[in-house]
Amino acid sequence: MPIGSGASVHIRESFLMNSLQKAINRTSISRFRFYFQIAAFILLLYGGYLAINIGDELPTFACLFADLRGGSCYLLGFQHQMTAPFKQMLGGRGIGILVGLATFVGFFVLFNKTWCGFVCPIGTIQDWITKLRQKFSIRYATYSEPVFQRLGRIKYVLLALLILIPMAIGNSFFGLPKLGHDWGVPFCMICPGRTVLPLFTGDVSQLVVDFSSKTKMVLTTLGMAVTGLFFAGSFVKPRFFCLFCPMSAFQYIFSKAGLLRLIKDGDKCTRCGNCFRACDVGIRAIADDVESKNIVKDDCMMCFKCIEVCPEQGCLKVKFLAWHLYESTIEGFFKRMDEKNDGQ
Amino acid sequence: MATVGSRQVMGHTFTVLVLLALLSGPRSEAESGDLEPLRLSLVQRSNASTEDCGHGMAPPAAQGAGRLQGRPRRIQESEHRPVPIRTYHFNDHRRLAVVKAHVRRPDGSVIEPDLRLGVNPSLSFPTPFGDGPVHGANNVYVVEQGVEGDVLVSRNAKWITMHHSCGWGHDSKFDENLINPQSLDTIPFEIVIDKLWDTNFHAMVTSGNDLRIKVLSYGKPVQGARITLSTEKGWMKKVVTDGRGVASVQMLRDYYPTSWPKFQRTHRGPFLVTAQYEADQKGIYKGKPYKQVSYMATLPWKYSPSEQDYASYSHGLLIGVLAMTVSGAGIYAYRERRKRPYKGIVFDE
Repeated sequence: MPIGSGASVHIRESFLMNSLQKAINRTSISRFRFYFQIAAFILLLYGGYLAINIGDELPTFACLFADLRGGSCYLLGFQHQMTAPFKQMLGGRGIGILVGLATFVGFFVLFNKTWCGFVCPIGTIQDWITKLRQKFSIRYATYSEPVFQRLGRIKYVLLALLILIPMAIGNSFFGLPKLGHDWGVPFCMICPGRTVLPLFTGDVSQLVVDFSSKTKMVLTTLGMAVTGLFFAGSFVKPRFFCLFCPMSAFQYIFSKAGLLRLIKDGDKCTRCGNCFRACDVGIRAIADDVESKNIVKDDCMMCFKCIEVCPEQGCLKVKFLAWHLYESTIEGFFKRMDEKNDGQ
Repeated sequence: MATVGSRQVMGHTFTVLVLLALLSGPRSEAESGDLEPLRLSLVQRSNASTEDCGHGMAPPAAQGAGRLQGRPRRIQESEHRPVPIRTYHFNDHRRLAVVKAHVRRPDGSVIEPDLRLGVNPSLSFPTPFGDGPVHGANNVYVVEQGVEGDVLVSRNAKWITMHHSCGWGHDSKFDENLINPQSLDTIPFEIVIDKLWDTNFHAMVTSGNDLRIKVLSYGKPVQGARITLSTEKGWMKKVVTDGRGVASVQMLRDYYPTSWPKFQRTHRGPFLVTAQYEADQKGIYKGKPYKQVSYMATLPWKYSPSEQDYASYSHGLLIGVLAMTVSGAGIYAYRERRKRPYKGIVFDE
């Protein structure tokens, strides 16, 4: 073996890695995301037909009301578990709750909020509706910053309610009577996932107002009203529902522990505002915040469109542990812009 | 002395016979001219006050006090509240007949439950927790056979125990042996009904459903079996099986609460399916010859109100479309209102 052959192999490997990294940085993540979303949508809605079930504690809206789904949203099971009396929660049943929560956190920590941007079927449907609007050349809507901040709090209110209401079924608060079991999964009753996702499996049974009790009547009426709002809102505002999503609020509690991160180098940022304008949700901090390294905010869905439109070398990047997966580069920016202009 | 002695012996014999009759079972061959079908239930039949309605339903006395004072609650088995040991009672058995019990577990294995004969006959068996061999539909059988005159009477009672907890997962929905009803080919006479439960092990029979009832004898279809479906309130429907051993019955609606607030979507009305069949078969059973076989089988289940009784698509779609239209119109009006006419800047000297 010639002297120095080990070093040349190492050089060749690092050259290959650099070339691969460059190629990845030049690609359009939006195009990749579009196809990934379709694959995830098929898996989560029709996985059951192939006997696939990736888990019942997923941090995404894989609705349990779609019977042969390939995985299930954690929120239904979580709300159901919250109906237990406090005594049981502190006993054996508490272990089940903790195991469920740990599984949810495990799934989430691994991929962080890419569950929203790449996997969530309700998010995917909203993206498809946005594409439809773009075909009609209808202008999209934006919120002013104060309105955005105010609306963003709704998801935390919904999160608190989806915990407290089921708790009031098994426990009495302040001596008040316990709630009936019809309140068991209050958020699911108003979630558009319940009414919309089963439609893709040919199941229209959720498009009803249930008159069997006053509670059911109110909740199913609200559910249908929210469904109507979901379609109208998503048509004019990209990712309209995500701003109110309690799953997003729940995820954000554990987001700091995420292994997948969106990192910003504030020193390289010129605050051109491209990232804010590209953001479907409308997070201003992505452009304004030059102090934080971890730039994932509670409304962020980690779609990485901000990286795609960032013209600064290495300003925004995606990291999984210590590995750089995708980052903004001058070359990649111009390539994508050229493609976009050619396409027009 | 001899007379006194013989009287004492006769007295003792009479006492022993009475005790035997009381302890060993409610019926003997001498009084079994008109046998009822054998039925399994959750409650024991101990005295006249708990006499059931004759269709295998839970007796009124068994409907203990509910959560709310003064509101009776029916004792019912929940398919989503597992218990470690299951006990079922059966209404009757003949003293000199052979009584056997079997449990076909969801994984196909068969176990013999702990059978207790006597005044309050019952059986019990363990149902350990977890996603194991017992997770799903367990078929519980009691088979009683004995010769009466020149007829072999075979009475078979079946009960389906749904043993499930959502915490054990729902992967079983991908196993058709767990979703579909199963039979046991060692049972002389058996009723099998399709679609009693859904893929999540919820009981799914509602008013208006067509029940497809199959009658099997040692696993083979029986043509001409007389099937009676009877509900809690005494409504009944009689049909006869065809060449495939199958008959269909549409579940009726007999749940009419006095006012709408009393309506319960989750109301579970019990019903009982009974099958009877006589076959001209000769043979010898336990040393006794017979010229005919009389088969009887029962299977109880429960049904709920139809969703059509309380759910409205028209209201749902109306509200959905209304919300979409109003919000769409609101957005359009808002945008129109914010449009400002073009104002050119004209230099005015």
